[in-house]
Amino acid sequence: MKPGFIARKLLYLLITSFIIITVSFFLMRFSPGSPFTSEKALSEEALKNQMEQYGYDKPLCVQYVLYLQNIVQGNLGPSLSYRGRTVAGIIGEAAPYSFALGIIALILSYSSGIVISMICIIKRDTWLDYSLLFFALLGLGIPGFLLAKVALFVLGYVLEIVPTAGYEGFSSLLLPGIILSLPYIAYITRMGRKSFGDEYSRDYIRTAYAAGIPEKRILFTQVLKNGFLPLLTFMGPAAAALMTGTVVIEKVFALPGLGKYFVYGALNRDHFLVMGVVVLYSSMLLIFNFVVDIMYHVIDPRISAESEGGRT
Amino acid sequence: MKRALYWLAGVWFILVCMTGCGKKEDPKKIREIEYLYNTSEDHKRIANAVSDMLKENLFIEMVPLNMEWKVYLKKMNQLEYDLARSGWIGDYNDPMTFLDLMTTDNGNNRTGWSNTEYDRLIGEASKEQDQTKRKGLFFKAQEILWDEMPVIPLYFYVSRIMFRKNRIGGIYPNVRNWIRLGTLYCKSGKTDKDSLVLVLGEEPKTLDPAHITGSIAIRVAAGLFEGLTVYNEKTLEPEPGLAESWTVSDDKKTYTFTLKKTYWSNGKELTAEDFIYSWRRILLPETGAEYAYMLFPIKNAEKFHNKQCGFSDVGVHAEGDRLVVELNSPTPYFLDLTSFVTYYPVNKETVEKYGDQWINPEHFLGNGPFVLKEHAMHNRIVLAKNSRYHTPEEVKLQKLIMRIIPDEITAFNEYEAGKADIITTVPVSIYRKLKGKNRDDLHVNPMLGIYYIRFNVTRPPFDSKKVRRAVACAIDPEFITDKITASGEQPAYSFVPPGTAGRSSFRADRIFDPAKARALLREAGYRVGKR
Repeated sequence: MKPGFIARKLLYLLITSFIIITVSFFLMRFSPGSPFTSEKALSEEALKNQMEQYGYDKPLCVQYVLYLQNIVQGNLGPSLSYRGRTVAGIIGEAAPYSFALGIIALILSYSSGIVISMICIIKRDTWLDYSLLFFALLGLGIPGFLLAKVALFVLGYVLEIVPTAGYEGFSSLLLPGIILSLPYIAYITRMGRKSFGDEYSRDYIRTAYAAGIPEKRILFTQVLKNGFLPLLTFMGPAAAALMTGTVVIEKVFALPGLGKYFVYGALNRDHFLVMGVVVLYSSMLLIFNFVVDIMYHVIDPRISAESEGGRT
Repeated sequence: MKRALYWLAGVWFILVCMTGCGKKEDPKKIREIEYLYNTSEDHKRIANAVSDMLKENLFIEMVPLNMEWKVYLKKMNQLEYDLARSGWIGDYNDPMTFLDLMTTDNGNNRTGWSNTEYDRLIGEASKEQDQTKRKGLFFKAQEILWDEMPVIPLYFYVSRIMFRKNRIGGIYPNVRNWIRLGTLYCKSGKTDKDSLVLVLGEEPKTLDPAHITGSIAIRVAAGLFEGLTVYNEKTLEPEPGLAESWTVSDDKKTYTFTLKKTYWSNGKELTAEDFIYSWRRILLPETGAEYAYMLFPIKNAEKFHNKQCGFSDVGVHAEGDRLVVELNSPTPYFLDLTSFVTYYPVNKETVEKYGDQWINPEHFLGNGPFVLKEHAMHNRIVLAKNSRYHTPEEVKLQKLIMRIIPDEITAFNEYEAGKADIITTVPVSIYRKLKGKNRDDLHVNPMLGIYYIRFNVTRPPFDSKKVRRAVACAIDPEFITDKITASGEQPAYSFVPPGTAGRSSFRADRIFDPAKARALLREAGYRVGKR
């Protein structure tokens, strides 16, 4: 891996972050509605003071520059809707739940998806292949909130084998993690079936069989490793999406995760809160994709660090 | 060439007939009107019902427009709408909280409607001491509202809470949906007698009394603070809280409260100066308190808020252990106000030391039956008994756990599974099933709240009183409460909910009458009928 490769990737990362923050900042500010309008009408004097307190009396470009300066110093600003709370504090409190839930869902989705797709490869074009694919796709087709409510009711309230609503410990994340992983299991199964299938049908695999190499070794050292690259590409955005929470799952299971702040912040025009979660999500997405790019090169040395995208 | 021209002319003619180009809008028909509502399935169902009624009864095309809350507020404030759904929950138990909404200067009016006589009647009622005369003024004011119809009342809100009477005591459903947390206790039917679990539907935005406006935050704050007076849990009458007694001057404009010797939760004495500090903080415009207007009955409070005088001119001062409050005019509901969250005291030292962070558990200081032990956002708020409360022996619970569960179905399931003792909202679908089974733990009670439709009276056609009345005659509130909401609400034929203290006897007749609606529209100069 050439040293310039990492430096260039980091530069792209910074430029992309800057663009995302800039576009999001101005989009939020130009959207109709103000953080200071409320059902109880504020007096003019009070409104003026509030705007001064939060810097809204300054020209927009000045506010933007000040916001960038604060971001660089790690200050995400105060929440305009949760008085007395900072955005960093809110995110810091919610993030561990979302991260834990996301990691559970990521591990489940990749492990299950890979196993199912490998079985589909071995038993290709049999009833088992099609049945597994069908059930995997059900996880994609059935709405998450419906699955969540039914699963919570049956497993939590009727059978009482899983914790119910709220966060009472790590076990509270298992059922939500499973529900969250289901669509991703479907994605990974489909991708894996295609990718592993393509790899499995290559000449060198046939040669390996002919040479008497055990099937297990062929599958796990050649097919899995070489066919994993597209799944690796998907891991970056999947990890970022899963670990920043989903508002639906959090609402049904009453979990104190991050997902709700994307929606809540936007609906309440809490500009700082929205920007905070956007910065977090975009940072995670960019960093995970960066890590995936590095891993790509490590897994497959044929990929040139100089080529655009670096993927075959 | 000629043939081509004839073909072109024919195609053009067909297109004109299909699109109606060149067809002028009929000025005698009501144009398509927009009905604004903020995002909610309930509001959507009502909007669709109103649209159907207007189309069927008046042949008016009404387009329900769903929008986010902030955009909806903006359009309301700027009078950029035709019709809009609205709701109001009373801030205090007096008709004034509903009727002064429609005065010309009230920022919550948002209809553009102004009536000098109405303003005069409400102004007089705000000063009138005689209750009979006051009711008479309210009656006349509502007559004007009903005649002019800048708003159409649809129904009065109800509260739906669930708790098992054999397990929990101290809750008496009432029009304020008020639960006096300090008097809650467990009965023999409950295993753990020291704690209760109460479900909140959302995370409160703040627990600072200066900034609280939402009902959820009000409910939590009632456990953490106490004002000069406190609502009796059964009768809602204000009774001594931190004030052991009070006297009222003959002109009803000066209240002198004698304070009990009470303490903050850190053991420091609570004094009259704490109240003065707290109220000043709310009135300072830089605080940005939305409920600052709740303190405006105090003499010069509004002027101070608008920077028209200094705080020394505001009618509040301490005389030892007494707090003397002077009002602008006699305010019959003043003791109701002193029980309200905006009038709670806060500790100056704590607020100035920690700023907005003072309300976090590690810094929190209160004077109520409980202290804030834990606050995990969107998860739970735990209140622990305050041993320094002025009557700790009256507080039976050691712990009150408030779980935040936004999904109503999940909250109900938690209640049914015994993991929650009190839930304060019941989903409509569940309500109907429970009602059918006559569940005795479902408590439905009228509330001080009204759901209504606003007209923008600055914009045609609703600048015409006859058109507004025609629309009101075409909408049936009973259909809405029976078939659309169908969860215990009562149709509204006045502007003040039943059960409001000091309410007049005003109650209009049912005016739903499609034929009369069409006649009124014709009288207003509009053609009524299908296109």
